[in-house]
Amino acid sequence: MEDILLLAPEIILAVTALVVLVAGLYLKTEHKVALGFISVAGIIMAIALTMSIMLAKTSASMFYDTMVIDPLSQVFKLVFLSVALLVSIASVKYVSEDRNTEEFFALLLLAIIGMMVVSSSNDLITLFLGFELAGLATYALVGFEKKNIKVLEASMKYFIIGAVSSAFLLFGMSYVYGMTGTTNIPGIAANAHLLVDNPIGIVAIVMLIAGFGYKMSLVPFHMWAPDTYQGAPSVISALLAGASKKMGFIAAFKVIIVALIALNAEWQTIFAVLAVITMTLGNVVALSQDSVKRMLAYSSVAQAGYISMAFVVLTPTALAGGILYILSHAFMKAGAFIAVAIVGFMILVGNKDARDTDHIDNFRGLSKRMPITAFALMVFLLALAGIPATAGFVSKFVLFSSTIEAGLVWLAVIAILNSAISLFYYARVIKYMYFMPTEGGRITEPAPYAIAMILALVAVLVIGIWPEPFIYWASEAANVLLI
Amino acid sequence: MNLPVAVVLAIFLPFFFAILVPYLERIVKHNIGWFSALIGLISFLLLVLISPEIIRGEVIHYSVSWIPSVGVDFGIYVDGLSLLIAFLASGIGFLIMAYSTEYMSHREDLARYYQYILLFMGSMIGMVFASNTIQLFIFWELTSITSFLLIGFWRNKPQSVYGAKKSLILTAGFGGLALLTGILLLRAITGTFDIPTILADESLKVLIKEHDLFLGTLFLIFIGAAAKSAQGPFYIWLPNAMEAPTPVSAFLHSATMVKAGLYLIGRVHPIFSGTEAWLIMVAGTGLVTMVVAGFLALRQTDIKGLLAYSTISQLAYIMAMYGYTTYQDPSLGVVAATYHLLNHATFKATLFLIVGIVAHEAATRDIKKLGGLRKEMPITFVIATIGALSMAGVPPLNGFLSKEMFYEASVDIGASLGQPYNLLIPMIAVIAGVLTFAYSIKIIDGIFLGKRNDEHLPKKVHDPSIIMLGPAAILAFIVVLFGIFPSIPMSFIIEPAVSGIILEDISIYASLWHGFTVELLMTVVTFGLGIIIYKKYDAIANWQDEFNKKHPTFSLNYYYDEIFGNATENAKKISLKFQVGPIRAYLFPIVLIAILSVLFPIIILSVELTPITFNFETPPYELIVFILIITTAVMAAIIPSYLPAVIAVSALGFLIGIVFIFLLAPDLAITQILAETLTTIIFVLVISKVPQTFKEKIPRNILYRDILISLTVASTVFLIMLYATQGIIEPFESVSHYFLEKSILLTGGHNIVNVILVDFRSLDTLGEIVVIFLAALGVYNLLHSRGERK
Repeated sequence: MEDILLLAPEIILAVTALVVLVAGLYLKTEHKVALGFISVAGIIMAIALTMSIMLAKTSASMFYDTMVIDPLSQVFKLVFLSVALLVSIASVKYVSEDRNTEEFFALLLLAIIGMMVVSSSNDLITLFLGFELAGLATYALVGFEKKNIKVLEASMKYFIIGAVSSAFLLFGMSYVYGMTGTTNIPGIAANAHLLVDNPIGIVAIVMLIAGFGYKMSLVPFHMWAPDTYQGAPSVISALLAGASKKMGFIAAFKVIIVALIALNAEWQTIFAVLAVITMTLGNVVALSQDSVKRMLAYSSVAQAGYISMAFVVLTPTALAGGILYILSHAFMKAGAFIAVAIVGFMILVGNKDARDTDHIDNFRGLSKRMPITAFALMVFLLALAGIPATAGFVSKFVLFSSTIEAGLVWLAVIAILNSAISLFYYARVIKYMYFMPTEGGRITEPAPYAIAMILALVAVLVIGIWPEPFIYWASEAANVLLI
Repeated sequence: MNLPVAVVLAIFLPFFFAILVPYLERIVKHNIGWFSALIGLISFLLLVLISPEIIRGEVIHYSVSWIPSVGVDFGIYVDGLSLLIAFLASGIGFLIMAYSTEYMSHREDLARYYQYILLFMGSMIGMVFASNTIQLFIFWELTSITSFLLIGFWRNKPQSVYGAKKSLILTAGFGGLALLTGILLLRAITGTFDIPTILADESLKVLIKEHDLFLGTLFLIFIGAAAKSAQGPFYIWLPNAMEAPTPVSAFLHSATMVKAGLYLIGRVHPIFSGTEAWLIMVAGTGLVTMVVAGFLALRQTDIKGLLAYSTISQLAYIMAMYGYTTYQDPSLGVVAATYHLLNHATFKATLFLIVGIVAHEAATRDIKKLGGLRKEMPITFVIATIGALSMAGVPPLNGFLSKEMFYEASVDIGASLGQPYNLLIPMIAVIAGVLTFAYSIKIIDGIFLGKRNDEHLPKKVHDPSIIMLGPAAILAFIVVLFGIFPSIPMSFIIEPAVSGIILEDISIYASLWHGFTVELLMTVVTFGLGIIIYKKYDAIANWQDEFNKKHPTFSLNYYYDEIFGNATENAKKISLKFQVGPIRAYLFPIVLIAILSVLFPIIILSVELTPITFNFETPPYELIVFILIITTAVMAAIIPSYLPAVIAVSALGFLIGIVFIFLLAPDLAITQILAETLTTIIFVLVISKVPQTFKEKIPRNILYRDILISLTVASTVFLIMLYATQGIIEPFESVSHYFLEKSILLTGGHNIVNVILVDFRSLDTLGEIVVIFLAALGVYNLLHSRGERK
């Protein structure tokens, strides 16, 4: 049982969550800012441990083969933890005056534990448990500002669709179990032919796609995402887009790819169509949004479309590209949402009762009022569009070129055309920030927000300029999927 | 100095200085232009430093690995072709920035202006020296983006914002991404992004030409080049780009950036040329564009607009000549194209600078308002005449030579293609030449000759200062020099550049007088016809305007505006359909997919499998229960108030309990009845707090929809049950055997359900009890805190 030390990151987070929860009971509201620091410290420790496990290239299986440690799980854990780090640093400011600070951080940590369990799970049951843990924690986090009616609507929609999707997921899993006789994922892979040869297997796979697709926000399971991202507090939107969505991907990678490899080429076409619809719809609808958060949400839908190209191509490079994209997108999107949070903060400083702080008019002349935020947001948006020297370009490049090498030229062409469309709406925000006049003077960014945003900015640029190590680990992770 | 270091410096010095410009501008104010020009000069001199090596026929190739896992390196590859364009970029860049110090008002945002120009210059030099296609693409897009920024330099003019956006969409968006796709395809074929590797390996070139993806690759790369060089349908961005400050137009939109597409064509020439597709695409597009753009140039009254169309037409010459080199001697067209590329940069930049001077001094660019300025601006007049006559192809200027070569190459290719091309292609060439001659004369005549247009011109007009005249004069001097002594550019610039394209050493002989040839005859015809066309100039222009008024949709710009101008509105229309709001609508597709995914396999199964066997032998007392179940279910659905509906539902539950008894499962029956009792009590308690009847009137269509959904779900479940009981799926070994065997053995218990709950799954049961306990605590807490607040 010494293997249990390999789960030390999760254990540390769990302990931190409990410490935060209990300590919060005894602290006065003005001292609760310390809870944020405790959470950040816990996450940093978890990151260090996860990274050391990953760099040692440890592989292990534990708890009767229900949990595994391999490069894949560690890479995804690092994605989740990095987003958690950014979000928790930014949240030090966001929840600083709230009397429920301890709940916020405890829920945040629990959500991350759930995601980490998903990335380590080797069994449908543990996977579902992690999925639900993260889900329940994020439902509550989305509704954290419980006096704000928009937030409640966002939370409600997220919860109801989430609950329905969980039901589908469980239904699909039960079919998988019924047809393959096991819940162990490698076991399912070994018996995948039982699943594929029978028409009833389609039920199982479609249900699984629906269940995971909701978290990945694939069309047509995406509809909650814009409402929820827009209504939720920006830092939580960062968590949803940066981490929670990626949990859908790792789960789908683990479960669906197993079945897909055994399936025939028709399914490839179905996934290709799904990817194309998702990216096109996301990009076209994003064009007309005046709410920046909603625009980012639709862009997130579109990006899910790009990433799901990995399901279609299914070569090691494509999967590595998909994983690299997930990693890059986590930083770009989380960074962008944090920047939007800063703008919201700025607007609220000027007018306490301001509504719709993420309306694009509030971004007018941001380059004059908050040059650092404007610059960082511009880099995030350009990265999302896939402009060179940013993480967005490298990941798009690896993914698209692998698509072409696999002979799916048409898919790559559509994806590249979509990138061109996306440039329109990203450029629009940049135009507002840099080319439009503003009233209102210079405002200094609050330090926690600024630190989180700059960390994300550095990550986006480092991946863009020196992508080699990231590509290496993405390929290591992809190799786990394809043995 | 180490040569690669010199190249890298030439690329990055402008970038580095561009970052410093805003800070330096605070110190030196409007003199920033001179510092920027100095950077251009330094870059130029650095390139001069490496040129002997290139003239000797060597190439400089140096690279460091950047993203080795996908084969992307950062490297430089310098040969004659890339050096030629880099010379233009740095040399003309220097002259333009010097000119701008006088041209741009000191009130403008000069830091931004010079910053963008330097960024452009660095990107352009970086693009031509890139040894890796991905690196080339990155710099390629950078030139488009800096061009966008420069066209939109005057942010407050809607026209310049429109022009900037158009150029970005067409060059960076459409062309750039097509190029990227082409590059990725090329990599898929060859397995490398490295340009020198592909150029050097003959077997790779054969592989490319025989590959299935050849046509697609060529097409996409050609689209990239055509969009950048404003060829074919993509020409529409260039006239709108004239909203940029005139020095910018001279630099980017005539001398350098638009040459990037031609550079690309030259770069991939060894890879793709010699095929039919290359001839049709490149030469065909060039031939059509040169005539259409030349014709459209006639209509322009704005001299800058005229120059824009003439640029499109002249670039088309070069494009066509690169395309000519199919079957026969490949060097002829390439030499002519490369030479014309150089010449066009010199005379067209001269003319743009003259337009800038005229607009600066006479405050208008409209040819109808200008005229008779030769006496007041004698030096300007001389320089303009040199530039315009060179463009018209009049000896002894450099434009004459390259035009002769163009005719020669056209005759040549026509002859090698046979009937009817041996006449057609030379004819098209002459038509383009005639049009060029006509609008070239128009520039001189419209501005400087004829009667002075006192009505529109300021009282006093004079030659500008030496700062503005100097750059134009230097360019005009080069025009004359290269015309009279063609061997100078030939041996130092054109020969290395051509050998960079055809990949072998070449020696070219050119002189001003080359005997009585077919080309000379064509030139004479051109001049004759040109003068006639010029006489009819106004009539043609009027006819064009009339035609446009009558057929507004006969224009590429019309379609561009329809598609891109209304992009946001069109997107809104689509968006409204997808952003509805109520959560019902969100759930609808999910449920639909779920139902379909279940129905689909069942339909397949019913086709594949033997028919289901039904067993209707039911005792009458059971039948009564079933009828009652159906009745209560229907009642629950249609009763319009809550309490009776709830009672109907609970009656349904009790009846199902009875069915369990019939099936000999008393424990299940007891559970069912207990659960039913509890839920009924809870329901009744809740209902006593809410209104007793449904107030809401359900619209009919929604009602039908809901009925349809319910029926579908119900029948699907029914079908599943039907098939499940038939035992289609091979069952795995049931766990119940394990419990049956082990329950007495391990626990001594006889009631297996109890044994499972308290022994086999005791931990689960414990967990459940804990959950219930915690939930109860929560409920207690809620009730408690509620009381407190009151």
